[in-house]
Amino acid sequence: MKLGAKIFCCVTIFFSAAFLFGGYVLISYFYEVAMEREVEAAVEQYQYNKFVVEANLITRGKEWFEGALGGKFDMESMASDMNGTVAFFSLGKDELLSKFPKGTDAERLLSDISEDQVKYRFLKIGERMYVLVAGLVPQGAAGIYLVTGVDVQQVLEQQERIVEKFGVVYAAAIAVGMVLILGFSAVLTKPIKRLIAVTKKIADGNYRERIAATGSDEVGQLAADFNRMAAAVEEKVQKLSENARQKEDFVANFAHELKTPLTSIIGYADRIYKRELPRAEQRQAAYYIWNEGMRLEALSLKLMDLTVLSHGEFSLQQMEAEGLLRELSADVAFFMEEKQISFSCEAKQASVAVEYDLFKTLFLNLVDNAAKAGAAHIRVTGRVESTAGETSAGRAAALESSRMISGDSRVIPDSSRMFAAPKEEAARRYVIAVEDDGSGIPAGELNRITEAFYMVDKSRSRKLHGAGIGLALCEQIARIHGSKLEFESDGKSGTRVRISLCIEEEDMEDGI
Amino acid sequence: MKGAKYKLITAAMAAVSLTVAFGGWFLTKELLDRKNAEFLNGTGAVALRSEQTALLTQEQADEAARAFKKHEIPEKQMREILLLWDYGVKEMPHDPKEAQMNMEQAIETGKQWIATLANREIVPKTLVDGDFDRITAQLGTVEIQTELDERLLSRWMLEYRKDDVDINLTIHAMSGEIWYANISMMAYSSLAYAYSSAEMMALMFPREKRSVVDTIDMYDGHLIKVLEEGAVSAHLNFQTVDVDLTPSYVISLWLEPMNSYYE
Repeated sequence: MKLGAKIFCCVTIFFSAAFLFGGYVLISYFYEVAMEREVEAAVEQYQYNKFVVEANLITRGKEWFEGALGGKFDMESMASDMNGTVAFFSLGKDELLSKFPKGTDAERLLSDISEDQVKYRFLKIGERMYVLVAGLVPQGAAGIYLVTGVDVQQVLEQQERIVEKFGVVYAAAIAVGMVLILGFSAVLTKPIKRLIAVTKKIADGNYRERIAATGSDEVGQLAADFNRMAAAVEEKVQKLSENARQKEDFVANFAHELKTPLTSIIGYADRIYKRELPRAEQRQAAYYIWNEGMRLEALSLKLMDLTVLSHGEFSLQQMEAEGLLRELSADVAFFMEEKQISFSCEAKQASVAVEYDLFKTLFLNLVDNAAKAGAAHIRVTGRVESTAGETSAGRAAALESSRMISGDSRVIPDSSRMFAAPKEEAARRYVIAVEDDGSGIPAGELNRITEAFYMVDKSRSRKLHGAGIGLALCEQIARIHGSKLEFESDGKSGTRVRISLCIEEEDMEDGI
Repeated sequence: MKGAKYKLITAAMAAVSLTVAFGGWFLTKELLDRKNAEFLNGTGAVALRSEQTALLTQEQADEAARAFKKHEIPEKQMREILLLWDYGVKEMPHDPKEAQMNMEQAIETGKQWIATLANREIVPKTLVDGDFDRITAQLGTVEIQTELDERLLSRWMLEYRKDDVDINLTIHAMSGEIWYANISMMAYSSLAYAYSSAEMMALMFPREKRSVVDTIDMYDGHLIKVLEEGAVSAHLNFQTVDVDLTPSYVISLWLEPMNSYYE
């Protein structure tokens, strides 16, 4: 049952019941009051008539009274002085005189009447309603019963007219009320209907749908909250879609990365198995099998690292940035010489918070990537930079993300106490940049290169035993350090990668 | 299937609400009719405002007559009663209460007052013996909220009629004083013209114990007497009017509270 119909039915029932009950109470009350007033007036008439009887007894004397009781004297003249319709009865309840129509049952009132009270009853005489009041007018041991009747038909007719008018008013009120209730329920449910329509659209996948503002009442608040919820759902759905796409890409890439070495391994193994090959060719085939096997092993190790980084717990340690970078540069110096790449490192002194092994992996991956990009010159710099452009909210988000990655909220806060970055007033961080003059990364690829298995130049990467996992690992490591990788490249003349680390301001000095 | 069920429920609820709306009207009408019938079929009893019945045995009447003592009403109280009579909205008849004169005493008081005037032929001499064609008497009070003893508000209103003479009197039920009188009669049966207004006032409103501080002759036939404390004034008006070309006398006596009086 629709809400509008419910409102209509409930309000109609309540309105009708209240109106009718109110009308019943008021009309009943009016009728009772009017009738009581008529009874009061009738008693007054009786009292007046009683005075007339008494005056007659005083002025005409006891003899007249006894004669009248015996039917000797006519009581007609006395009755003519009285108000209303009257009747006289002897104490034996014999009718002495009656102005009521014949057959009127007035005697019924005469039982149990005492001197100090009168009795009344309503009686329909002909087509009219009367209230009859009866009482005793004593005269020594004798006396008469006096009955006075007052016409109250006009009160009944008045009540009938009131009931008729009430009926007309009620019918009009119900008719108008029903129309108003219908309109009211339509107005009341209109925004709810809009809400339902929008909900259906959202349920059908149109997450951009919103409800127009409907005022500041409860329905308006509901609409506003609904819009907020829809926005949150839309954002969440987008994130989920993105995650799903990344997972699909991951699975597809992973399958492809497995297939390539496995094809080589299967091919070369098949060749050795099926043919008699010269020793040199056997060695060559075995080398390819070994090489592809190593590649698969490296791939599995990197995937394992990625999993560990996603769920592991790490504790950052305070280290001297200059010494750290110098040590790492020394590690890659031989490799650079072998590749005939010019490598330089310039680092300022500062105390930074790092997890040594992870940071080393990050550093070596970035340098290795630069080398794979065909760079002739690789330059590593480390210096303190003001993070004025970086909002505290951004830093907090970075820290929060590192907490989530570490899986232990105690780790970063401990180190935060050691380093200045989390403090609001210390808006400076240690920025390490790795620059190369290699092939660069197209601008459109920059936001995807940290996805697992994503490779800008797939053929070259595979040729160089790359699987597209290195930068994904680096991104995870950067997050653990409360930072993220920032890539700058025009896609032609090299790439610049930056990572910022927390520093301890007190120990900061100029380095080499 | 579900939609059809909802439609059925909606139709049923709409039918219920319309039944309540229209059926309720007939139910209300029926209930009102029943209540009326119940009210009209009942009987009731009303206690009379009486501490003694008006009509007494001779012994009781004699005893009551002996028991009744005229209650002296102070002028201030008289003024208050007159004001309340003016303000009262409804005349309430009742039987005599304690210390109030009964009907017989009231009628007798009126007869004596008329006899006094008849002896001086201000009214026809035939009224001396108190034989009237018709006498009516009614004791009543006014319905009004007051701190005054309610018995003080009661008054006997009497009408005496004989031939062409019609006399209306209002007698204060506790003091037995006549506070209002209106006499109308044919001129030929009266010698009222032979008396001055002051003389008629002295006869019609005798103040044995109360002195009069001021007498104002407003105009011919209208006399005002201000009582001792200046709280009440007595008015007498004597007029000659023509009824069917026959001259008639109308003599009126009434008391008025003085507007200028302040306690």
